[in-house]
Formats: sequence, structure tokens, C-alpha cells
Amino acid sequence: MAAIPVYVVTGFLDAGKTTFINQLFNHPAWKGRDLLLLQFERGQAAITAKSGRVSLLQFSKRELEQPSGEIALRIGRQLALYQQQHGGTDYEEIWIEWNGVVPFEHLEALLLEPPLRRLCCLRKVFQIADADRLELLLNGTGGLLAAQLAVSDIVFLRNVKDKKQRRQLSQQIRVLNPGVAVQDFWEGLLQSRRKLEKRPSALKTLLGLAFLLLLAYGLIQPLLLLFGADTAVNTMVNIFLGIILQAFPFLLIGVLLSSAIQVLLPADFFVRHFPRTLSGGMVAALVAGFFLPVCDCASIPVFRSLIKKGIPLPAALTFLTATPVINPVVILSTYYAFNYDWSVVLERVCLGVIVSVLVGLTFALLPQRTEILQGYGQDPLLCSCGVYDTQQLPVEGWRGKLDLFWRHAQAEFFSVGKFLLIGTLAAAALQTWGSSSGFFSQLAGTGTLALTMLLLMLAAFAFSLCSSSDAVIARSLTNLFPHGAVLAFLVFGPMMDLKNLLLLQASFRRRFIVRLLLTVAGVCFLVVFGVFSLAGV
Amino acid sequence: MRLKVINRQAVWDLLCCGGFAILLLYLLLSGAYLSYVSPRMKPYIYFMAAVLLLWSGRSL
Repeated sequence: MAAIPVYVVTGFLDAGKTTFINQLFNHPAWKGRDLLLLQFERGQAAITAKSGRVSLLQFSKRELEQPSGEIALRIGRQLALYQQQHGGTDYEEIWIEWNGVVPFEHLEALLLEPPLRRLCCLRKVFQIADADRLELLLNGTGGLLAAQLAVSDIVFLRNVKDKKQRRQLSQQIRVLNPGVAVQDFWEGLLQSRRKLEKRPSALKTLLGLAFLLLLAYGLIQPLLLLFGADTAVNTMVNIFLGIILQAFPFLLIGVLLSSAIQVLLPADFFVRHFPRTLSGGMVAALVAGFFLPVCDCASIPVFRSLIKKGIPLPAALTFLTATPVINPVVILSTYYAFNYDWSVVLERVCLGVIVSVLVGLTFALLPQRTEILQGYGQDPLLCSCGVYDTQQLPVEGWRGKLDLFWRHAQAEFFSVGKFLLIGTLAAAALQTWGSSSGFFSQLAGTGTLALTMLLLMLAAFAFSLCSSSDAVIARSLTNLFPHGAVLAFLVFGPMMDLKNLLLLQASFRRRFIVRLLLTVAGVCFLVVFGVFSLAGV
Repeated sequence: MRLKVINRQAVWDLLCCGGFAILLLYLLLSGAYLSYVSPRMKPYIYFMAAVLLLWSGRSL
């Protein structure tokens, strides 16, 4: 026997849940259907369904505070009664009007109770939200609304003033739930049944994608052989796997550190312990960067969590840009790559420190006036992971915190990982092109220090080499390019490259990323050029 | 303990994390990882495989 599909309509008080259900049930598509409506909140409007045959069960907030087994038994009895009266058939659909201030986990627990778990199947969650109050509620409900938005399939917005407001709200909602559909309230009401019921299967999508990839490979392989491009594709695949094997462990460390900062440290930890002065903050950022033995992929998630915990932007930026250049792994890899020559290591570290401090200072002197994090990032509770420690459902004890830490890290790893994959693919393609076209040897004859510096910085950005291994490539360039240009390659590459740009895009606003990219590039060029040209080093 | 309900997401977590961890362990134990990265990365890849195994174990 097939499980009864369950549809949930949720939202805060006065959101318009009952109005939505009334309009939906009175739609011709629901005509003659046998429905069970479970109301966990008695709204101002009454249920006035005409088209379908609706059975109504209501539960007060006090009943919700009781163990969920009792409510499940009551629903189970209603389902059994209906079966008896209708010769063994079930309700066609169950609709639930859920009280927005009660954590959604309670409803999930209820549907997993023994009387219901084999009878019901949660199909879709609809969130009804008032456009004017959405931002206020998100910031004022301690993660409760964010957690609900994270599990919603469709968000229906009411009272949307104009297209601009709709676009802004859609962007903010998609930060919390990237796959959610955002629709206008009345437009949503007119949706056909088929569209509401449509549910893409993850398994089918995955199998379909795998089939298409195999098909594409099968079709392309003879063509590649024909045009002699199979070597280039193999090279690209090898470079891609190399970057992945190198970058993912570091990204994982970064995500674990970021989750530890986010979940395990008290909200006011950095406010109490981090130096209050600009210089003190920068020194602390440099010291922290030195003791983090990872590549640039790890510093970005940590940077995001530091910003969320209230670390001043200049200090956090100093940490972000200095860490991939001055940590022990990078120091040792540079030392080995340049045949145990400490002078190159010292030049790289010193220039890295100067550039990162100057980048931080530019943001201190000309503060960023607009929001830098996407969506509701300034609230320490909210991110796109869907794992929240809400006031209504607090996490208790170290075991609970540890569980939240692992769940948060896992969600963040898979959320950020896809950006790393895209960046890596682009970098692998560019590296393949670079090596097959003799990119570096062609550049070697270009002459002036400034021009070669710019070209090598561009190459470092495009190739996205891991900061723990870029020294090997840089060593091979020393015979072709001026020493200053190689140093620019070694300093700029770890601070900002194509894959970092995509990782940043997962959490930060475009305007901030553009400013950061231009600032790092400008400062790096001026500092390295100044040292190697004007000072005559 | 009696199996209550099969959670599809947990099964996918188990397969994805577990599969990735096994692939990494295969690369490490066979030495094939040296075709892609330097030996210096070995402890980091072991660490990643361990965390992925832990994640897949948590979905059981």
C-alpha cells in the first residue's frame, strides 16, 4: 500500500497559511478529493473548503508540548476510522498547517512515530512569508525561521512591493536554501496540481547525469583520438585529480576549524579575547596564520567564521592573505624547492607579511560600507548549512555540541566543495593549455620586470596552484624570468586565485570580492615592484 | 537493535563518504597517489579518509 503524501504549510503568525490552504482546497484541481487537514495553529481565518471532502483535526499549542506519540495516536485513529468507513482506502492527501514558532524537528519526529511512519510520506514543505517582515523575523527568531526555510521546497512571498524587493529576498532565501523555489503568493495559488506534486528524484538525476557523462565520453573519445587531443584530455584529468587530492584535505581542515569556531566557541569569545587595537589585531592575525599549517583553501572557511564571530575586517583580511604564504608547510616546501636557500624563503615570507598587512590597512583606512557576507551572514547562527542551534531547540552538553559540530562541518564541506570542484576544473583546463602551448617559454622573452610580473601574477591566478606546492613550479621559472616576477608569482598566487575566487563567492558578496581582488593584486604588484625595482634589491 | 526506517539521505551519505574514503585509502595503500601529489601530502590524505569514514559511520 502506497504511503499517503503529506504536504506541510508553515509560516509565522499572520503569514496567511489558512488563506493559502482555503484558496488551494477551493481550486478546481482539488475538487472531489478526500483530504485530511491537521491544524497545529488556529489562524484568524477559518477553513472554508468547498470542493474537496476535508476532515479536520485541530491541535492546540499545549497539546504540541506533550510527547508526540499521543498526537500520532490520535492521527492514526483518524486514518484507521477513514479506512473502515471507505472500504480500506486511505485519504488521498494529508495537509498540515504547522505553527511557525514550533521547531520543524517536532513535526519530523511526529511523522516518524510508529503509527504514522509507514502510512505517511512527507512530500513537500511550503513556507508562507510576508515580504515586509521576513528580514525582521530572520534576524529576530534565533535561527528558527532560517531552519524552516532550509527545509522548504517552495517559499510563497506575500505583499511583495516590487521586482527589486522580490529579487533581493529571493537572493537572501537562496543563501539559506540554494535549491528552493521562490514564488509570489497569488501566483503560487494558481499553480496546477501537477506542478505542485512534481518532485525530482535525486537518484534519477544522478543516474541520468552519470549516463550522459558516459555517453559524452563514448562519443568524444574517437573524436579526440582523431584530432590527437586525447593526450591533452588525459593531462587535464591528471592535473584535475592532482589539484583535488591536494586541495580537498586542506579544505576539510579549514571547514573543521571553521565549524569549531562557529559551534564550539562561545559567541562572544573573540569579542572578549581578541586585541581591540588595529595593530594588536593584525599581529594576532599574523601569529594565527603562522600556526595554521594549511594551504589557501583552508583559510577561506576560517576567514568566514572569523567575520561571523565579529573579528574586525582588517585583521581577518590580514589572516586570510597571510596564512597561505607564511605557514610552516609553505615555508618548508619553498625551502626544499629552492635547494635549501633561506633567502628566497625569507623574501617570500617578508613580502607576504607586508602585502597582507597593507591589504588589511586599506580596508581599515577605507572601510567597507556595504554588507560583505551574503544573505544573513552577520547573524552568527545563520548560514546555508541548515544546521542550527536554535533557542527553541537548544543543543545541550558537549555531546550535543560535538554532534552539531560534525553535522555543520559536513554540510559546509559539501556546500563549499562544489565551488572548489568548478574552480579546479577551470584551473586544470588552463594549466593544460599553458603546458601544451609553451606558455611560460613564450613569456620568457617579454622583457621588462613590470610586464613579466603582471603576466606571472595572471598565470598564478589562472592556474590556482596549491600554496604548499607552487614553489616547485616557481623554481622552474627562475631561469626564464626576473627574480622579482617569480616572487610576485609566489606571493600573489596563494592570496588570490581562480579557485579562491569561487570559494569566496560561496559566502561573500560580489562587490567585496572584486574590491579584495583588485586590492590584493594592486598592493602585491606595487610592493614587489617597489622592492625589486626602485630599491634595487 | 531493530531497523526502524531507511533514511535515503543517510544511505547516500554513507555511500558517498564511504566510497570516497575507500578510494583515498586505495590510492594511499597502493601508492597510486604519488602519480598526482607529493609524498608530503600522505598524512593529510590519511586524515581526510579518516574523517570521511567517520562521517559515513555517523550516517548508520
